[in-house]
Amino acid sequence: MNRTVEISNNERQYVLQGLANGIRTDGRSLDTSRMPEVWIEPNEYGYVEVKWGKTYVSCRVSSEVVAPFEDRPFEGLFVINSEISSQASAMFDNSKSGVDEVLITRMIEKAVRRSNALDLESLCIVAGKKVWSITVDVNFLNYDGNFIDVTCFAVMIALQHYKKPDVLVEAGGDKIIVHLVDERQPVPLSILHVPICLTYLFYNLGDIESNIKGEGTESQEVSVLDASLTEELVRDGFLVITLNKNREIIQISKNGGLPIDALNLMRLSKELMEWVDKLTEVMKTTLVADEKERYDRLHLKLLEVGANR
Amino acid sequence: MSVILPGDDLGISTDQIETSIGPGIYKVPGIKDTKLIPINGGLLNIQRNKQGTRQAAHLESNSRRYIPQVSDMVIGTIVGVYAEYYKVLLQNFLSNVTLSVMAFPNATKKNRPNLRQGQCVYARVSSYIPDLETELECFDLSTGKDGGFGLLDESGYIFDVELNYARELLFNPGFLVLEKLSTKCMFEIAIGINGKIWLKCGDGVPIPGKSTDEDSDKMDVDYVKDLKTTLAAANYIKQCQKVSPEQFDKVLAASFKGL
Repeated sequence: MNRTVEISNNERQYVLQGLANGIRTDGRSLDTSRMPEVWIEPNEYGYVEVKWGKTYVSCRVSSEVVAPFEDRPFEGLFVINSEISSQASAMFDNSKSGVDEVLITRMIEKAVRRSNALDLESLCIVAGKKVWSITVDVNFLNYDGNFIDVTCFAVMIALQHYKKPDVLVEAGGDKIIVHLVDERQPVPLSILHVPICLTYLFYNLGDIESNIKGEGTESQEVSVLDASLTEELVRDGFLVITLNKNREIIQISKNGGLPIDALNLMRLSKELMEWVDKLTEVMKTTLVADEKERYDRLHLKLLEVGANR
Repeated sequence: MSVILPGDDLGISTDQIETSIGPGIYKVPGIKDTKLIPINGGLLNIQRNKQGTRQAAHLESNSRRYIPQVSDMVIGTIVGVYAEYYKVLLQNFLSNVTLSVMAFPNATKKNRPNLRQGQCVYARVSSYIPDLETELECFDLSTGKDGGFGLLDESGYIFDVELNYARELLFNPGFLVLEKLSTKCMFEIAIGINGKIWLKCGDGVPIPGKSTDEDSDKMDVDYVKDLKTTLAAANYIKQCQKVSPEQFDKVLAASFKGL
């Protein structure tokens, strides 16, 4: 069986010639991203499925009580598992992780974990003894380009949706009681900010020489937001920018051998703010709608102080 | 036509009538009078001849993986060039099939086709034995001429559709997708039963490496229009696989908006 995706000259020509004239094969404009469709599991907390075009990712958050690391007694643990299986596409191998997979994992690690999106200190239950360990498991169900953006989006919406069980610490801190979810209202995680990853792809439509020389030669570089699989196959380089809606740049990662103009980089980052706002808004409205639906369905109003029972 | 699930009773009597079975139906070989067993879910399709002495039954369903059948017309991408044959890929993640350099019209040891990696051919499956490598050929068996087979030029766009949709486009003359498209633009099309379609409206995009001696500015404008039309037409064909025939007009208008 072939493990690679082959692309015919015809498709390559149409993608490249199209880009040279500002047309994309799926009819989007160059700086338009596909919009995600989010499905949230109604009967539990922290399971979401995100469809981004044909790319399909599911994400589950789970928690357990563990002992913290000795050198960080106040901090909880936070792990993101993102192994790509060949379920997503036969181009990914089950047993060994390829370059793409490592890159995606690292990018998500950098964007979400190392940017302190989740407040680790809020996960502490008893200092030095018991903390929450939060695990995010990402499953990749279908691949049509742009796993990084989709994964980051799915992880962030799942984290915001997740609620961990309420904990009661008994006097002295020797014993804790973890209340079941239907016994006491669970507590949401403390999310400090919401990073959004967005990927630009670069194509050099001119001479390959300008890749090496960089300046001087007339550059015909085209940048494209949120590529599909076909577009990803013919790319020359790519750039992942992670931003949040406070207009903070969390990380920038530029891969591939194409040089990029500093001014161009600034321009792209600025343009991305529009998409960051849009995607954050999608997250917010989905979560608010889900919250409201749950509130009505579970009759949570009855729990409020002064509710008419 | 009836909907059949795997293992159902097909309800076909095979006593008095010679029966051929097609995709989706299985019979234990060698044993007489065993029942026909459906191994796929799908629509049962039975065709009888006028005298009622012969019938053919198969199940019409959609699958993701293309399984070659002899005399299928397919579009393949050349992924390897060797001295005596080409390696061709019919669908991503399938095993390669072979296309001999002799399987072209008028091919001799000296007169051989010159195909490069990444180019696409329209070909016919000439041999399919599951345990052996599948073979293709690029000429019409009855005439020995090219018969529309051979290299699909690089100015056309190639895209993937569902397998059942490709069959419908190719074999159902009452399927109006392409006729409706012809009201909007002129096009050339090659439909591979392996779920690939080659489409070119107007002249398509210019082939790289082939210099055009005409005025280059004029050419530019022309090819952008053809490029846009081709992509719009491809988009229309792709979208039609998900809608009912009544909506074809609407999809067509939406795809060609602004052209």
